Amino acid sequence: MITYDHITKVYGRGGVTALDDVCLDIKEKDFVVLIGPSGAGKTTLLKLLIKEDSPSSGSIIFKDEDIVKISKRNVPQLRRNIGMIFQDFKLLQRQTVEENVGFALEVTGSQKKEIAEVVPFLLEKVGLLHRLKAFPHELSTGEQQRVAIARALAHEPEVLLADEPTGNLDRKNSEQIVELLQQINDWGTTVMMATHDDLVIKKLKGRKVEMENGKIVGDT
Amino acid sequence: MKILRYAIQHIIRKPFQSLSVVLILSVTFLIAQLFVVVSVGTTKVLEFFEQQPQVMIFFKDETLEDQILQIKAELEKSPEISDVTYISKAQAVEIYKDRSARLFPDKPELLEFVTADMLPASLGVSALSVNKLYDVSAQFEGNQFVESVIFQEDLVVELTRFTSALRIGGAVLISVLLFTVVVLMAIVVSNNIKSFSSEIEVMRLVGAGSWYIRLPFIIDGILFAVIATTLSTIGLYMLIPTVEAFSMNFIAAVDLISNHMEFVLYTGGATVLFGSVFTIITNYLATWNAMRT
Repeated sequence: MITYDHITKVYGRGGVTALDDVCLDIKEKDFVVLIGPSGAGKTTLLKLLIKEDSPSSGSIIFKDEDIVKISKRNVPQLRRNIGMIFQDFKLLQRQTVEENVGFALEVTGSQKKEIAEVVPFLLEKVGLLHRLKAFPHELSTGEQQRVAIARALAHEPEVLLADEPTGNLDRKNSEQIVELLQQINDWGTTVMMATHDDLVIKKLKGRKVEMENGKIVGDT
Repeated sequence: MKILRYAIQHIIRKPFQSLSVVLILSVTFLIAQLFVVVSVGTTKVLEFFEQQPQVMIFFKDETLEDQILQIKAELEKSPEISDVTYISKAQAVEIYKDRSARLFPDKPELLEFVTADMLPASLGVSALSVNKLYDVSAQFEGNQFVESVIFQEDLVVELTRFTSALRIGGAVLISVLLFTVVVLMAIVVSNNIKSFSSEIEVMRLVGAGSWYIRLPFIIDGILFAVIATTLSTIGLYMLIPTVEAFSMNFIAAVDLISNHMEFVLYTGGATVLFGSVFTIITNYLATWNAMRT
């Protein structure tokens, strides 16, 4: 489903090599955990997939298309097929939970009626239907991350990327988020998660790809 | 509707910034509209003088009508003279009374003491070439029957120079103001994009198209243009009578703007159109520049 083919990413002229000839194949419905210390290249690998950045060389095949070559105009369509969550949640503080999740549908042209049906469905999946009208600052960090997950699932993406999703969470919330991600994977969504949290890594089932200094050093 | 809502949010979230843009735009458009009034007015004045007899010969009181008519007949024999119009003393008084009654209806004393003896008879001479007018003017300067000769070509030339200078000056002033508006709107758009950076980041992440993100900022510009042109057009409507009254002191015979409402509506409509196109282009460029960084 996703193929990183000899991907290299160098920042600046003769600068930092974030990725060094990385080759990685990810199949449909895989749960892939990218593990490694900060600076290993995990986040860079995820960013390249949503065209947040471009590699210095190599190609990335997603659904039979080399996304390195797609035009800027087609990037929004790519991102609708790939959901992403972050360590800092990236919620809109001035909008309620319902509006935050609905925002993802609103900006892609969904009608009010559809949004009104889909949003409660998604929030129920992540266990937050009872918090529809709350604002992000009224939620715990674990709940905020679950709202972010619900938003990431709004377009029924085939792939969900998670960049250090438990970075700002305590142990209990971290475990809950990991369980939720595994549940999402069980529903059929391919999940790629970057983390350096040892406790999370121990708990996770699935394929573990170890990275160091921009290279893949292990794949189990 | 959502995009319009976002655009309105931009304006409401920074009210003082929005107010400063509207004020500067309003002043710029009002000056441009007044420039149009002045241009139209000076064009009409020029046309008026170009249509008038171009040399006026005023005769002394003691000159007899027969003598004037003989001079008229002599002038008309020349093929280069296109028209010679005789205005007798009585006719001059009638013209004076008519204009005074029209322009100064509340000053009847201007008419009371004016008699035919007070105004001279005159000949208005139009020619096919300026050179012939110079000849006529020179011919009658110092003539025993002639009190004075007024050569309107000098006036037309001076007026043309003055109008050109006014138009160039006006165009430069408006260009400077428009450039100021461009810079100001670039700053405003940049500030708004920073202010909405979290929303924009999320929009990009969830797959919003670039036009969906940019359009609210472009609509901001249109809203500013519409508000500003409404204000400037109201200002224009209020100022036109003052401008006309001022011009009456100098060129009473010229009706600068015959139909105020029609003129204001046309000028206002043209300004809305120009303002909207101008702000669309300005905001598009400003948004493109701010978002690529």
